[in-house]
Amino acid sequence: MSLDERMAALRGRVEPDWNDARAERVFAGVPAQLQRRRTRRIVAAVSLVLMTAGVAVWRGRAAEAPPLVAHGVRRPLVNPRRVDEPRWKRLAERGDWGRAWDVLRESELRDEPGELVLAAEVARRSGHPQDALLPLKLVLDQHASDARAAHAALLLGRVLMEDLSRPRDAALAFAQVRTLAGHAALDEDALAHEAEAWWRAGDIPHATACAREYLRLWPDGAQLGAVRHLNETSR
Amino acid sequence: MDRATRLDGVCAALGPRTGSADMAEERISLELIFRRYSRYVAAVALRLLGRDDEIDDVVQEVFLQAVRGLERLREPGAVKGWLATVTVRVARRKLRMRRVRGFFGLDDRPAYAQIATAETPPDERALLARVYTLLDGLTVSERLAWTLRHVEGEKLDAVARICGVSLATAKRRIASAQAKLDKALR
Repeated sequence: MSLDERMAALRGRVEPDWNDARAERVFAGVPAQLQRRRTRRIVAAVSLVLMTAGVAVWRGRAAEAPPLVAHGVRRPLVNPRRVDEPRWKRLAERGDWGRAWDVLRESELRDEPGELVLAAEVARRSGHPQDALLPLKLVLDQHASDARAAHAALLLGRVLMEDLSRPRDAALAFAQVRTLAGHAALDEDALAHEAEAWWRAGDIPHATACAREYLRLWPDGAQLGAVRHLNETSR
Repeated sequence: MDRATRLDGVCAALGPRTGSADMAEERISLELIFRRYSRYVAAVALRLLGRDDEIDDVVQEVFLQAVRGLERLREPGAVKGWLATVTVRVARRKLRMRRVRGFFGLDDRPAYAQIATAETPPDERALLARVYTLLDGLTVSERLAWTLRHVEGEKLDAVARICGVSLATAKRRIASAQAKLDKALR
């Protein structure tokens, strides 16, 4: 007889001496243990919250501290980008434009193209388009060779045309895009917007010229329908 | 917490037995589940571990761990299987701890002669004691799979489900354990 057959025959021979009294005794400890475990879980959760809050406070202070690298000091940080990043930028990245604007107003803006463009975007999206102009003009004046300059010009044009109803100024901003660094990917949009801005400004010759230029350069362009319509309306 | 501790979500657990929809919709107390299944859990634990003195701890631990899972169970017949799974999990930890204690010389040699019921004939008692002594030499996973299959009498797919492994893995573990035991008993 093989072992598994012998074990099958022995099935039922291994039974615990389990009676009501023993079960009662074992069960008596269960609710108390459950309560203890729940308490431990609550304590652990509270500790985690407090630790997280502590880290957040520490990070907040670190963000306010002077830039160490500028003083030639390098200190390893858990997440340098996050620590250095102003709070309004984090809010903006989350799409919380209103709060980002509130914080931005109290913050000092660095003369850095990316930060200036983002600040303009925050101002515009939070309903303060007029305040978007200065940072964008700063980029165009101070950082014309930066790859983000063309983007700043395009954004400036849109703010002027769509938010401030200044189509002539917008057309000039759109025209500037092609003269700036990083323009290649934005040329098509900029020219289509320029045509529209001239048209809105009532400058039909300029609008027609831009529209024809667009149709020549991008005969299958994404803005083809709008530009063609503009070209025909301008005649 | 009083003994009338109640759980949400296991209302269906005893439904089929009572046959009453109203009863099935009631909250079922932990105590009721304990009374119904503690003997089963104790039996599985004894067959897996081979020691009666560890059973109380295991049963208590199983019900402590099972509470949260029981809250999520929706199938009436799933309670027993779930408890078996938790029992195997707890037994696995016990066996590993036993091995560690044994490594440091802190574990007493178990008296497996006491594992069989009182009415078991001496030759069968001796065989069981010998088998359980040999099981101590297997890996924990092999031991659990083989014990569930040949001592507990579970089907292969049930062994796989309770151990949380594929059917192929369960078969492989049982076969490996069987080969080692056959060789030792030859």
